[in-house]
Amino acid sequence: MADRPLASDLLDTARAALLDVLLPALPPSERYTARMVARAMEIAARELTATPLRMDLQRELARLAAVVDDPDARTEAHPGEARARADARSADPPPAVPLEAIARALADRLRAGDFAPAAAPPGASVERARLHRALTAWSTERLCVTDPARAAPPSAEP
Amino acid sequence: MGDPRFDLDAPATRADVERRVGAALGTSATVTRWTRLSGGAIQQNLALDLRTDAGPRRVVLRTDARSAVAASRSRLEEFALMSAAARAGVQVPAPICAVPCTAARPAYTVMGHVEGVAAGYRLTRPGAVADPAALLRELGANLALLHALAPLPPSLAFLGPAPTAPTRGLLDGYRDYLDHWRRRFGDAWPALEWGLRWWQERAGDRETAVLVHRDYRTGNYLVDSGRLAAVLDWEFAGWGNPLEDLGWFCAPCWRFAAPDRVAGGIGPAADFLGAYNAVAGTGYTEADTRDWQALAQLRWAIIALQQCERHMGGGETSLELALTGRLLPRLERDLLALTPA
Repeated sequence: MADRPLASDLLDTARAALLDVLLPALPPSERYTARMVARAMEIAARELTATPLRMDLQRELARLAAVVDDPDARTEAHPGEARARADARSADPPPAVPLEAIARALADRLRAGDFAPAAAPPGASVERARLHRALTAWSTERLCVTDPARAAPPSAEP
Repeated sequence: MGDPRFDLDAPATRADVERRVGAALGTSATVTRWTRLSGGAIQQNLALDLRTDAGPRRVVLRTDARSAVAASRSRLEEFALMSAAARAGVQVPAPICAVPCTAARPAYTVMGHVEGVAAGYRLTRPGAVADPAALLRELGANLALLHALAPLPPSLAFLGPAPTAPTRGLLDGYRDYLDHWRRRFGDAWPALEWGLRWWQERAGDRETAVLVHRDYRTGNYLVDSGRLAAVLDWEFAGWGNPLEDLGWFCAPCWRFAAPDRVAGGIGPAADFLGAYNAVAGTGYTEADTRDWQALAQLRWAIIALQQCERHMGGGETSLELALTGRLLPRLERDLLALTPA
């Protein structure tokens, strides 16, 4: 049982009081600080209610980081088959590897040039594209917490 | 933490300022009033009203907000850079004097006060600038004047010789910082590593290095009545590829309220680059800046981490620095959009 209201509700309500009641009464020189306080409260409230990273995305990141057993990697020539298998496993729990470890392993692989075209074995360009998609999706999920208004895809990109 | 402020109310400090500024202006000078201008996390700016033999005059005094500053150039070097830019015809506040530090106070510099608006969100609101094309032409032409500055004067000897591959040097620095972060906090940043790898595949071994501003962007210039009044914040200037400044100016992270207006949230890149090309004799297009916009996203992400680190582990609790750390997802996302697989 959680005490009510929830922490996110407290933060939202406090933020509204800050912006609606206190901010207009502040001298102009202090309003920037008040807006920063409101922004910090807004991010914290959203983070408290944010859902964990999508399981399929976490699995994909773990696979790309090579920190889990990777049946899909052996079937790159048949991406439809791999996708069907991934769909069938959509209810699987996320990998036990924490996201922090996945991030470190991905960084290590990128440093080592594992995704670079020059050193890549056949099929690696597919992996490179999948990595780019997965990283973009991961950043977007975090953007939904920090700045949801900007979480839509950037415009005018090729 | 002790008081980091430069205390103009201290009699010795005020007398020192009046004597130095008076000598530089060739007049007597008495501070009649001073106010704190909005300053960055690194430096602080004070507006001083002076009584001089020639009448009242307003100047700006710039000094360090903290006793120890890691990343930016010293106030004296910044003053030398701004003075050299002024002589090259770049619109900057009139340099007046630069005073080294003592045991009692940090170094400070004094320059003419320039009226105008610098705030990025204000300048990029619809209709904020009456003639955006004219402003962008001035910004492009001024940047070209800076990049044409050669040979550098002896006052800039602290920059050392021009490097043969300045961008590779930048990438090495970013990589080192990510390693430092990982050692200190345990985290890695795969999207930034992606950007590093992407750039590593493209950075040349030989580049033509010029004097670049390295923070030439909306928010760092003053606009008065819709026209460029002065280019500010010279603390990051140094050797670099001229496209680095062009990409920094056009990068998504510096468009504020107008993300679809490529040139600093003010207008189309063609207006900015056209004026730059006309002075510099180059033929850069928006497409030429895209890779460099990506580099700008990467660099700002690294700086954001550095500022976040100052809050998290540097004994410098600051809400502004803390919030900068939360810019990472957006910086990453725009970086990835500019660096397709």
